[in-house]
Amino acid sequence: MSSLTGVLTTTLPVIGEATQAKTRVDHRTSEEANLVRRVQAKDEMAFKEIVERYQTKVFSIIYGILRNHNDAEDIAQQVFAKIYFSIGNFDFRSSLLTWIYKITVNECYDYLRKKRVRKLVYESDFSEEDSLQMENSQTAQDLKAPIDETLEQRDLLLKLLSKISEEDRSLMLMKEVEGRSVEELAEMTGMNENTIKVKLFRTRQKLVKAAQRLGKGGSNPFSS
Amino acid sequence: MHDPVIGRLEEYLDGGGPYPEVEEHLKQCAECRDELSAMQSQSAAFRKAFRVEVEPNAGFYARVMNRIETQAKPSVWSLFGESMFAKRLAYASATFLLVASAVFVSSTQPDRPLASNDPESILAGDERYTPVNMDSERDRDVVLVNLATYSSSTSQEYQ
Repeated sequence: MSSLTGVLTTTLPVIGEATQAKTRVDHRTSEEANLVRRVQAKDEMAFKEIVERYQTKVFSIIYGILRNHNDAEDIAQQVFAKIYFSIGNFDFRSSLLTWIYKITVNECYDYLRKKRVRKLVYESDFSEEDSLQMENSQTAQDLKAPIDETLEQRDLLLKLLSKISEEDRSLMLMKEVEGRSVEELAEMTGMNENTIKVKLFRTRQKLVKAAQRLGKGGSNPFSS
Repeated sequence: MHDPVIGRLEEYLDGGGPYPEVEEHLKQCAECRDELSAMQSQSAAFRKAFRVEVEPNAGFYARVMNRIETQAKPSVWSLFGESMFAKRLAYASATFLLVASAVFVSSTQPDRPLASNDPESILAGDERYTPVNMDSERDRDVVLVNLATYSSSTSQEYQ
């Protein structure tokens, strides 16, 4: 990692120098930090402000991942309940949004994991004959043209994202889905821009390789 | 992927540029071209699949507060005061109870196996296998066998 950071700094000395100065954002003194302190002091109006400020963002992230309004509502409520109960542990090392983003993505993955376990338990209740019948019907369905390619691709992306660390996952989603720039990500996370670039590059490499393995042919499964 | 492309990768994927050093390198390096193309496709797939803007239904804050109230209700642990010490004490007590009941159950088990019913084992005079206070039918058999053994041994002595 350090050698790659070194490469980036030497390749882009101008960006490297500018980065070091810019990325040290003090999250303790921002307007948001005051809001957090008020919530930590049990000010419900401050909490209401946080909910109103971030509800659309949180809801959109969840809906983007799960594509179900009821599930998104349920998980969004859970995210804010979690924020309420654990905001006392917020240490201002990153921005509030980064912290909320991490909680939101984790809740989505917890939900998907539980759903998968429930499905496995449900399927284990079937007799061998039922399972065989289901398998045959699934095979028949697989032979048909994909009903919704976007849905399939989303599932593939979710599977790939589950193979990387929480931190890399959040960074990748904030970059690609939120459309944050490297500079913004550096400010939000408290890391420097080169570290963000290295992390994103490595994550992209991992995802491409994992996608090629899933595609089995070594080809790019995302090319249309 | 090589240095000139890695350094500008994020800007390149965001549609920035042109970057002459990247373009120059890509002309010569097929490996970088392939990897960059895969990353561009993946980036586009992420944006297409997850970028949405959806609002929750009205009254979301009230529903969040309802959930918080439900989750804030006292748990079982609150009976012990919620402190870590109280939790450890409760765990230790539960473990002690479990061990004590295991010891109790094992000590009340019969420590001798039940006697076999075959006359050979009774005739062998093995006291370990002679039951005490078994059912009446079994007692009768034992008495009969003992008497038979006794009478045969005394008759042998007199002969």
